[in-house]
Amino acid sequence: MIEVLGRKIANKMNEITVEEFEKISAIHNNKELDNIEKQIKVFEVVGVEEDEWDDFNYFVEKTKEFNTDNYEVKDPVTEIEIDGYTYKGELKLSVKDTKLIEKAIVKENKHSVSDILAIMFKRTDLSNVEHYDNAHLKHKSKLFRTQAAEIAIPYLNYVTQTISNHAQKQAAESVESDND
Amino acid sequence: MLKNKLPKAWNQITIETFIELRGLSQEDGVFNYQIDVLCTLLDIYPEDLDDISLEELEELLLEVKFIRDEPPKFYKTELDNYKLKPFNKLTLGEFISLEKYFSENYIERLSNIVAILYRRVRINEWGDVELEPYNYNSNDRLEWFLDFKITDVFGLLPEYIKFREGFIEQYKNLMTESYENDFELSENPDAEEIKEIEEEKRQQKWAWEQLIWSLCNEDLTKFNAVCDLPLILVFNFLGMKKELNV
Repeated sequence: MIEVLGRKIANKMNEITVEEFEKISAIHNNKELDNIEKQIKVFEVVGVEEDEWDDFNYFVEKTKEFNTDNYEVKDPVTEIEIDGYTYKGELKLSVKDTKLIEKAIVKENKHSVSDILAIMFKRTDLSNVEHYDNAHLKHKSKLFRTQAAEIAIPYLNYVTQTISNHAQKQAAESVESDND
Repeated sequence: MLKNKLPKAWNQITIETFIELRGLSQEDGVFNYQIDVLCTLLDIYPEDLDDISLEELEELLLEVKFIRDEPPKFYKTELDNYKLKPFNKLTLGEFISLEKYFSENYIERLSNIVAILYRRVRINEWGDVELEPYNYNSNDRLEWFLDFKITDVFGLLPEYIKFREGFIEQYKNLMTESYENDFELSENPDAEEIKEIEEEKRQQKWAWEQLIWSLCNEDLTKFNAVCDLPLILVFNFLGMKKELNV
């Protein structure tokens, strides 16, 4: 937490929720905003409204503080209990998972992080058929939005690495094919 | 084993599969596109690949890397009982139909194109090979050619495009200006320019009908007879009319 205008404001990955993380990521990816506009909107996500900033130097100081890199790499959380149900996650992707995750990423989707977690965490009492049911995935995505964002990081890194490895292999084979 | 069921080269791919492959969209991402490619080639549903590992998937993709390239540009002059009509013997009506399909999407319309270019034949009373007339709708024959290999016909596309370009170049003085140019508005078009473009588009839309109408001497009963005339004869005749201003 950092202190802004006498209030405690969440800035660490274990303090902000997945949903806040999704909103912040969307702001950073918005090419129509400049850096100052982005930071104003990021602060709005965590509870500081734009009209509260009346001292620019203070805003700059708090921006630096907010963005201080303080994420510690931790082992992935592999089990979560929400509403009495246990969800198990693995750093492992099946073809089906990868298909669904790619769709979640490619489509303009403000909940892609929680959607990815919903795909990778499986409720222990349900079968595979139920797990991949669209309505169940949507419901689970909503549940994961309330969890701490730090849960998502190892899974996002794994997904990014796996998909990029796959793409690189394909590209390398394509080059080899051109040279055949 | 799925791997053994995959085609190894373009000569194992039918026209139908080729059209399906080229119609696949990448809007869900490259990974989903690759799955769709495999499903098309294996004639299975995407769910059928859900249980394989990513490594197995990559192995399958490696087997079909040939599909990233175009098929070899070969074509046959005969497909079973069908014979390829030489381009320089096309009629005006055939050329107009081909223009339509090439301008729409010549991959999607490949079956229509093939159905116009390959014709049934008979030996006439003089012992000569005679091609059937173009008095059928190519849409009625879409299914006829789907099982032939793509390598039996793919080379026709660049070959026909080459013929078409040569033809347009040869008769460019008879083509309307907009035939070769896209309609492009300037950066800040005024009302007059917009009106002009609209008029050009209207003229272009009916250009072939206007040509046939004038060749029919405005007698609609002669429409088919004009369409059956050899393309080159028609354009030579139009060239003569233009040069002599008659």
